[in-house]
This record gives sequence, structure tokens and C-alpha cells, in this order.
Amino acid sequence: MTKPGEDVVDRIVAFLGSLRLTVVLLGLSITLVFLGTIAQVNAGIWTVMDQYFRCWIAWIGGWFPFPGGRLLGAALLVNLLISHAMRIKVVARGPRLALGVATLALGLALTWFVISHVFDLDSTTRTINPSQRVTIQLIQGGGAAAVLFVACWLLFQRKAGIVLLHAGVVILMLSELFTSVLAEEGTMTIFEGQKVNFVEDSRTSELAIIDASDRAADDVLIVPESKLKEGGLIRLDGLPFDLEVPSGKFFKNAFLAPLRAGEPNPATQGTGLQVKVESRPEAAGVDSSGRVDLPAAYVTFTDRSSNSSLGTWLTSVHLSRERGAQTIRAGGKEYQVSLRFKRTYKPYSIYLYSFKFERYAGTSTPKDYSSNVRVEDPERGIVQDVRIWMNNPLRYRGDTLYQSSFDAETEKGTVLQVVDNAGWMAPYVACMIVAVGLIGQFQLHLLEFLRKRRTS
Amino acid sequence: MKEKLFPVVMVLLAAAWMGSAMRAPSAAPDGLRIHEFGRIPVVEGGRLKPLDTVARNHLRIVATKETFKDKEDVSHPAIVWLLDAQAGLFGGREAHRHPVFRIDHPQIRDLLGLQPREGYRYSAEEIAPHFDALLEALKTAHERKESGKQLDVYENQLMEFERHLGSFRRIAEFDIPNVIPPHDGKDWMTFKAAVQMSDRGNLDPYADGWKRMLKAYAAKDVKEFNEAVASYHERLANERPEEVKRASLESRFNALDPFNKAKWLYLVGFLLAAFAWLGWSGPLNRASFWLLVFVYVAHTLALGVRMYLSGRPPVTNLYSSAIFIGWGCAAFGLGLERAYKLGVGNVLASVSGFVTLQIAHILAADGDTMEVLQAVLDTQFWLATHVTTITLGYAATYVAGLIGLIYILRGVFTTSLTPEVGRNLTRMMYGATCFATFFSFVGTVLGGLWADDSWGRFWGWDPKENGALMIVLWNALVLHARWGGIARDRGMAMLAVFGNIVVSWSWFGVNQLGVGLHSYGFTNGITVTLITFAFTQAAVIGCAFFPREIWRSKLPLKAGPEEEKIKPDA
Amino acid sequence: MRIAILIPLLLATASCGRQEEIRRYKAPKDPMWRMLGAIVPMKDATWFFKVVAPADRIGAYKEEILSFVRALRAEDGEIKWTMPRGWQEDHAGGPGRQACLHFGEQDPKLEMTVVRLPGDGGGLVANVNRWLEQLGLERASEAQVAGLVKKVSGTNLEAQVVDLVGPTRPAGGPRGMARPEPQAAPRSGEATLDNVRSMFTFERPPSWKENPQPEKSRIFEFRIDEPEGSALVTFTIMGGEGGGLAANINRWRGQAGLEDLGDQAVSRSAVPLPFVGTEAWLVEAIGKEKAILGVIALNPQFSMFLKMDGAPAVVTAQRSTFARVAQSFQMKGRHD
Repeated sequence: MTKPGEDVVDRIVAFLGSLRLTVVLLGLSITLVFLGTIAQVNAGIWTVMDQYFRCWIAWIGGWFPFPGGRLLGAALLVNLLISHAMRIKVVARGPRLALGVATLALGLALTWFVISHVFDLDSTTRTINPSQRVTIQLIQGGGAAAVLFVACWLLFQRKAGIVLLHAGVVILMLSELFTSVLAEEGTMTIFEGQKVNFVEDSRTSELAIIDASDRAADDVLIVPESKLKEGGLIRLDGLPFDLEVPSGKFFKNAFLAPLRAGEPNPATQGTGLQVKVESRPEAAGVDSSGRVDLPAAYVTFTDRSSNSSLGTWLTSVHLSRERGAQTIRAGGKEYQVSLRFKRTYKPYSIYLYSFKFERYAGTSTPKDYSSNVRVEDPERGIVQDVRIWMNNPLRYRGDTLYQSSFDAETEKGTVLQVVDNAGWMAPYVACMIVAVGLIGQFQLHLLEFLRKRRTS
Repeated sequence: MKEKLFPVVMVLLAAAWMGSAMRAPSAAPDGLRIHEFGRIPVVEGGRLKPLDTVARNHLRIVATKETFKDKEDVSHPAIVWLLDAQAGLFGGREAHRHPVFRIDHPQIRDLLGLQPREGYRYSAEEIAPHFDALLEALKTAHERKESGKQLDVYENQLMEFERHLGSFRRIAEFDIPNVIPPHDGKDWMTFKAAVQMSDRGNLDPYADGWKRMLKAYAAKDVKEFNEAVASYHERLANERPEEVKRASLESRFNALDPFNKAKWLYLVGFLLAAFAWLGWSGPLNRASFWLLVFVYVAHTLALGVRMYLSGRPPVTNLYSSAIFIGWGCAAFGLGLERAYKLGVGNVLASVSGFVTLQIAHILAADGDTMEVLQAVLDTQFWLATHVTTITLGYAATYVAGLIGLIYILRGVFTTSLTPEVGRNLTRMMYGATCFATFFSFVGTVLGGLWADDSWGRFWGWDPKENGALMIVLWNALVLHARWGGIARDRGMAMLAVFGNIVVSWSWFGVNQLGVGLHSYGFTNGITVTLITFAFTQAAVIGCAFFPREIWRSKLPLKAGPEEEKIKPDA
Repeated sequence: MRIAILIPLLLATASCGRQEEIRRYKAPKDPMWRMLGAIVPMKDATWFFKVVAPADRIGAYKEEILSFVRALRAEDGEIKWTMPRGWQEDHAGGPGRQACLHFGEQDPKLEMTVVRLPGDGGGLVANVNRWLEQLGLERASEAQVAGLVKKVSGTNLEAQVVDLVGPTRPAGGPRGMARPEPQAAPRSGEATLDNVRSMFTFERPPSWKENPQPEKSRIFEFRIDEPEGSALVTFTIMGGEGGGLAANINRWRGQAGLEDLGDQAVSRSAVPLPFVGTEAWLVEAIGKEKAILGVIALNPQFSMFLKMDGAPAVVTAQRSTFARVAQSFQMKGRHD
């Protein structure tokens, strides 16, 4: 390496690790958060999340480029690592170093165990009140944090707190990254007496083509919403027909209006002959009523062998709910076609005994909602009665089921929010690690400060 | 000797003032035991409270005060208004004559043919003649609203006035509150419901008690009224002693009005500390300090009683967050005063106490300050931990910001910012920012844990969460700027003052987003106040930009050796 | 230190979105909903006894339900039943609904609703088709309906029983089928929704968005969406006198979270209003979370309900529009 080259690299590295850069990045992050908050006035939270925070470049107002959440997060991470490498030296030597490394290994192992739920159990068989439950989780995190702090103290002495708290921040950031990529959420709507074994994600839809001829199970083919939006011809291997969504005929949010005689209508078969689609803007804003988009699409089916059209059908999430699926006959078989919210089947099912809705006396302010359910898991042979209520979720097989909402019309239907997020314990651990780090570091400062005042 | 006595005298005076309000209010001049009536526990808005609270809350909404003057200009407490309204069921017409409806907007007054007068309060009787005109105007306003048009201030005030009238009507028709306690398996219900449910000829005993009390009041039969109230109380005390005790405590609490009294005492403390800058500083500062300690103790006790009455941790809504922030800031201020004895801590504690309690007073105008919580918010654990911690974080950031304000204003406009004082102030800011970082970070993460526990999403990027995140990031930025040598004393003060804007955005600004920008626009008081506040802070930061040479206080232009010690090796 | 540069590369890989593909899998059968209904025509009225539940729950009780039907007897023009052991009765419910019977061992109890409609209640074919649609099945012709119906004899009456299984959950409770004017001759022997609808004209405000496929019992349905909430306007017709003014007002008050009024207060709170040439009342129930505005027109033959139900802010703002629309209602063939 030549001297000038090294010089440039060193300067770049020094820049990347400088506190000045940290301040700039923090300032940009605050600005991004602020702009993202303002954007939510007109756009939905999920849209803003995707456009501002879970991307590399955020286009403010649609045209102004600004570093996105992922870019700022990555930059802060790089800045943190380089700055630590430059400024914080391992001061331990000899036996102290060995002990420090060993403790560090133990601490990391504990942290990993806590995050991966080694100490956790399904909550079907126990009911603990939320404060106990959360305290136990925080204590688990605190334990790991304490061991890590000792390790940092051994290795870094005065800088122990700083290293630890930054490590906690990194864990928090990585956990949010992990969640954004891997976590899945959906809802289960169950009416009293009904048993449900799937979860719906109302943020996206899918076209389901079902061959129900087998008595044991349905043969389901799913065309995801992204493919419908793209339009064009979609080959359906294994089925005797293909489908095509004519351009512009997929509507993310639609209202169905009555079709008056003589009005032009793309549909040639099915319910589409009686109603037509009116496009609506996507559900948006900080509207707390949480309206969802009801997608609809005109779909043309073509029989592959004869190349003849099986008609253009109107499918819509709303219609599928109210009237069920529409039937297409092809290749000597019947297929049920419906556009529905994206469905994920679970290996267990939930049966609702009853849903209770308590109000404060003399008002309609909700005091508590609760669902008495039975978890049925044939794979594991579990049949268990459980109560799920506000702030008291059921954790089962990696899923967490929360009492989210209910059917306002009958008050006999419950809506459970089902979250599959393997890394949910990470924030508990991260919180404790940062707290221990902060307290440790400030203790140090405070002690120094008091010592100085006493001598002055 | 005088110097030692002065603080003691101040504290005693304050104690005497507060103490005087603690005596249980006795009967009205005409002998009617209205305050005993006011102590009767009822349920309104889902919460148990004394009738006195119901009366005060509603009168406060309608007349913006908790007392009113009748046509003869005699002052009466709110409970009299309630009684008069309820007695309407039994023939009383007094309530319609009381001028309690405050109409500020001149156009509404014109519509109703009312002449402006001091206080702008009018009675139902005075409003009645032009009621039809009011209904017409309301119809137009509702139509405009329904067709999606933006309403102007006049129309908004009209609809607000409609709500006030509705409130009065519901009290007069006994639709609120639920006065009949639970018995025979039935929950709290209204008088009317109890009457309906009674068998013919055999009135529900509690409803009977009410009938007796109100009939006696309408007939102005003092003896009968007092006896009826006493016997109703006796029955209640036997069957529901716990509720009677709580209601009694709450009505005494209302009468004492501790937060308002504390607010004025904080102001006195500020005046003492301010005068201390002019001269006789030792005794004045000490007097201020001990007075503030007294007020702080009273503030704490009042907070404690609130917690007992509502059964909740200290912060449950905007009103209580203001009270708690004041409590936190005052604690910080008094602690700093103890450590540094510069008088700055006194100013901090008193200004923050006064301002937050005044904000609380304004927020109280909306209704019951101890309203019940929606189901998802109803968990003691998270309220006690997350909400409290994050509110302390807000308080600490404000403390740093206040010190920053003091630094800049004293430095630019007075000569009192010596290098020593400057260094001490900087240390205070640094310490406050450290606390702020800790509390706001832990509080924000606890909030995320609550969200994860409640609906499975640790971080949802919603406005309130984003606001809290901005505070954490800002405090972190200030600390890193300090450590990186980018900001020294002046820089830190400027950053700290900007922190005031960030916290105010998070505390109030985000709440306005869903509401303010849609229906009220910039005519909403809170949005306007926020923006004005932001401008004032920006103005102070602007002052700090003036070159050091023109600051009135002479400070070294380069950082001294002392300052280097605060940051880790950069 | 150079390794630190690798981290952003790792992160970059994390940004790869999961591109969704067409996929195929075997899914468990969706549980079906089952409806056991008995239609009993009497001289002036028709009675409907209906149980709706997930299919796997009703099976065990089918015999019990059928023996209940066999024990029905006609007495003085009304139908009386004997309560089997373990069954409970309550009279909650809307107008037209005579009773709700709860039975079954497991929670939640199964419910049988008993509804009485004047005249032929719309007819056998129309009602069976209504039920078929509710279950997500295709409509049936007269002949097909005849094939679905089984005759079951009660003590001194005859019941027509259907046992239907379909994929969709029937929403709402049993409501009356629209009773068309005696003069109007339905086209194909059934009273269709469109026929009834075409008999009414009224003002449609632009902010009211019509739902062309309302729930089976509603003649018209509109939705109003505002920033501060939304409201639903429905127009329904019931056979018979609909339960009485007080009962309806109190029912709506209950829905809005307010408690009931006594008779006197009720008549004070309703404002008389002419509606479609009939005497009607304009009623309000404004609660904290929910508000209801309604017009109730009671008539010995049938009752009409025009109701707006939704967020209080929206409903109160719509007061004058609602009143205007109500006054604009006209029915063909009806003379003022």
C-alpha cells in the first residue's frame, strides 16, 4: 500500500467513525421521523412505513430524495462500529482478559437463550397477570444484561457502560429489521360456536381457485395480489385454464354499485352482471376507525385446450364474504373462485365459546373485552380451554394471539390479532441491556462528579 | 435575625392560606346543607364521584368557572346550580334564571339578541326568546359540516354552545348522573330508570330519598331538606360506606383546589427568586427555596390523593401528564438548587410548576379530569411504568431546555453570566440531558413492550411513538454533540432550548395531527399556542447566535480547561 | 475494522423483498354453516322457526329440533309450543320476532328464533331462496325448492322444513320479507327485492353512497363516510305492527348506549312526521359512541323503518338531510 492511499483510507475511516457524523445522522433521523409522521396525515401507516422507514431512499412528497430508514440505520451501525473500534480499547490483560472473554461468551449465550425463548413456555396452561409476566421477561433480560455488564467492565473498564448500551441499541435496531422482514401478522375473526383455523391479512388479497371435489381436503391454487396487479396473462399450471386481468381492472379499494340497464360492463358471467365496480381511494390517514381496503378485480378465464373464453368475472373481497365463491366449470370439473384476504392456515384451530364485552357503568366506553376459546391442536393432541382478553394474549406454537376487536353488529364475534414474530423477546433484552449500560455509565460520571466536588 | 425569620414567615403564610381552604365548607347562608348534599356519591361517565364533582365539571364546561353569580349578583357554588336544575323536575324554575351560559362570540350574542356584559354569561331564560334563531343557525352549521365544508370559528362555537345546552338539559331531565346505587342485583342507574322499574305504589327506596330531597329543595323547606339529606347519607353510609368515604374525600379535595393554590404559590416562589437577583439574595433565595419545598410537598400530596381517588398511577390523561411533568420538573429544580445554590434551581422549579399547572388548569376545562380509561389502556402496570417514565423524560428535557433559556437570556441581556455560573449551568444541562436520555429511552421502550404485549407490534411508527422517538434521538444528539466537541456551553444551551420544541411537539403536537389538520385547521387554540411557543424558543436560539462580543456577559471565547473534562476522549 | 464495512452489505441482502409466487396447497375444508328452518303457514300469518349454526354443531340436535316442531300446536290463531327440558326462552329481539329459544349443552347455546309475519310472509319459495342466498348457495327454482322441503306434521298443523348447508355465515337475524302491495302482481310469482325497491322513490343525497347488495332484509342501504366517522342508513319493512313505538324506540336507545324511557317520556321524545302517507314518528337516540336517527311508520299491515346509525358526530350533522329524505319518500300506488 502506498502512503497516499493509506492516508485516504484512514481519512475515510476516521470520518466514518467520527462523532460529528453521528450527530449529523441523528439529526437526519429525527428529520425523517418528523416527515414520516406528517406524511401519515394523508397516507396510511403501512404505506408510510414502506415509503419512509423500511427502505433505502425515502421520496418526500413523492419527489425529494432523502435517506430512508434502512440507510440511516445502516450508516449509524457502521458509524458505531468504527467509532468503537477507533476509540475503545480492550484494557484487560492476562487472567482478567481471559475471565472477561469467558463472561462475555456466557453473557452472549444467555442473551441468545432469552431471545430464542429457551426459558419461555406456551401460555395455554397458565394464566399470569400482565405485570408479573412482563416483570419476569424483563428480569430474564436483566440477567443477561448484568452478565454482559460484568464482562464489559472486565474488558473495557471505564467505557463499559458505553459499549453495553450501544450493544443494546444495536440489538434493538436489528430486531426491528428482523421484524420488518420476517414477522407475519393477521387476524382471526371467530363467531360464537365457530371454529377457525386460518389467519387473514387484510392488507393484501389473493385470488383463490379451489377444487373441492376431494372430500378430504380442498385443492387450492393461490394467485397473489402482486401478480393480479401486474396484469397480463397468468398461466395456471395444473388447472385446465389460464387467467388474465385486463389492464387497469384491478382495484385496490372498490365500492360495488348497482348496474343500471344498458351500462357498459366488462363482466360477462357471474355476479359481475348485476354490479359494477367504482374505484375508491385507499384507506388512509390517522383515521382510528381502521377502515380496510376491499379489493376487486375483473378476471378473464381462458380454457387452455380449446382456447375459448370462459368469461370475464368480477371477483371482490366484499362479494366473496357476503355471497361466497363463484363457480367456473372447465375440464369437466367445478372450481370455486373467490378473491379474499390473504390466508395463512395454522396447524391448530380456535373455537369460540363466548365473547364478552363489558362497559363502564352507564356509558358505552369499553372496559374489557374477552374471549373464552378452546385451542384444538390435533398434531400435538392438545384440547385446551383458554381465556384471551385485553392485554393478555395467548402464546402458542410461536404465535401470539391478542384480543384485538370484535363484531360490532352482533357483539357475538371476536377478532383476534395473530402475530408470528420469532424475535419478540429481543426488545425486552435490549431494553434491559441499554438500561444497565446507561445506569452504569452515568453512575461512573456521577461518582467522578461527586468526588470532584468533595475535593474542590 | 430578620434574614433567618423571613423564610419561615413565608412558609407559614403559605401554610395558613392552604389550610384555610381545608376546613370543610359548612352550610349555605340560608341553612341548606348543600355541601352535605354535594358529598353524595354517584356514578357518571363510568366513575364513582361526589355530586359536587359532577356539578363543578359541568359548570366549568358551561360557564368556565366553578362558581356562579345569580341574578342578584350573589355568588353560589356549582352544587347550587345542579340542585336548582334537578329541582326543575319538582317545579323549580330557578335554574333557568341563573346566568351561567358563557357566550364569548359576539355573533352568537347578536343572534340571540343579547347585550354584551361583563363575563358574557347569560341565563336560559334570556336565551329562550330567540331560541328558534339559534336552531336555524345550528341547522345551517350542521348542514355545512355534513357536506364536508370547513367550519369557521363562529360555527364551531355554535356547536360547542349546543353541547353546553345539551349538558344542562341532561342534568335537568336527570339523564345524568346515575344517582341510584346498586341494589337488588341492579347496577347504578338514573332516577328515572329506578322510578320505571319500581312496582306501582312502591317506589324504590333510594329514588324515594331523592324525591324527598328535591321536593324539599324546590319548596325551599330548609328543615325537610336537611333531614332528607341526612337520612339519605345515613342509609348510604350503612350500605356503601367505602363509596361514601371516597366521595367525601373527593369533595373536600375539590373544595381545597390544591393544584390551583400550588400554582399561585409557585408564582410567589418565582417572584421571590426573581427579586433575589436584584438584592438581599441570601434570604430571598432561601425563602423561595423553602416556600417551593412546601409547595412541592403539597403538590406531591395532592398527586397522591388523586391517585387514591382514581385508583390509578399518576399519569392517565393529558391533564395528569401536565401535573406530573410539573412535579418532575419541580423536583429536578429543587435538587439542582440544593446542589448549586445559584437561585437557578428555584427559578426552574417555580416556572415549570406554574406553567404546567396553568396548562393543567386549561386542560381541565374539558370535563372530568379523572375520566375512566378505554379497555386497551386499562392496565395498572404499564400506566405505572411506561407512562410515568416517559413523562419524567419529558420533564427532564424541559429542565435542560429551561436552563438553556436561562443561560442564553442571562448571557445576552444581563451581565450575570460569569464563567463560573456558565460552567455550572452547563453542568446542570448536561446532567439533566443525561437523565432525560435515560428516562425517555426506557419510557419509549417500555411503551413498545406494552404495544407488543397488547397487540403484537413493538414498534408501529405511529405519531405518538414517533414523537417519543424524536425526544430520545434529540437527547442522544445533544450528548453526542457535547462529547464530539461540536457543542460547548453556548451550543449546548441552544440545543437544549430546541429540545423544548421537540418535547412540546411530542406532548401536544402529535395529538393535533389526526384532529387539528382536518377539522379545526389553524383556528384551534392548541395548534396556535404550539406554533407561537416554537417561535419564541427559536427567537431565543436566534439570540444565542449573536457573536460573543455583543453578549452583555463577558465570557471567554475559547473553551476553558474545565469543559474538556466532561466529554470522554474524542 | 474493514470487517465493519461488511455489515451494510449484509443489511443490503435483507432488503430483498419476498417476491410472491403462485402457489398450490391442500387446505382443510372450510366449515359449513347449517340452517334448519320450519315454515308454518296459518290463516292470517306465517311463522318461521329457524336455527342457524356451524354445521358440526347442529347435527347432534337435529332430532331434538324436529321433535320440538312436531310438538307445535295452533291455538286461537297463534302457535304455541312446549319448552323441552333444558330450553330457555327470552323475548329480546326486534319487531316481528316473537321469541328466542336457547338450548344445547355446550357454550355458546344454540338459538332458535321464532318470527311471525302477516299474510304469507313472502311465500315459501321466496323465503327458501333468501335462506339459500344467506348461506352462499345458488338460488333455486320452484321445482327445486319443492325438492328441498320436507313436510313435518305438528300436533294440529303442518310445517315445511328445510335443512340447508352452505359456506357463508348468514348475517343478521330473521327479518320480514318485504310485503308488496296487494295490487302489484310480482312477475315470476316471487316478490323480488327489485320489485319492492322500484315501488319507492325518494331523494338520494350525493353524500349517501348506495350499497346495491344490502343484507337480505334491507330494502335500501346507504353509507355515509366522513373524516370523523361513518353512518349507515337502512330502510326495512316488517310485517305486522312491528312491536309498538315504545319498544322500537327503547331498542334503538339501547343500541346507542342510552337507557330506556318510560311510556310518557317516549311519546314526548318522538316527533310526528308524515311518511309515505302514513302516520310516523321521527326518533333520536344520541349516545356517546353511537347515535341513531330513525323514522318509524306503524301500520296494522306492515311497519317501515328508516334508520341512520353511526358515529354521533356524523349522525347529528345529518339530521336535516335525514328529515328531508324521509319527507321525500313516496310509494307507488299509495294515495296520500
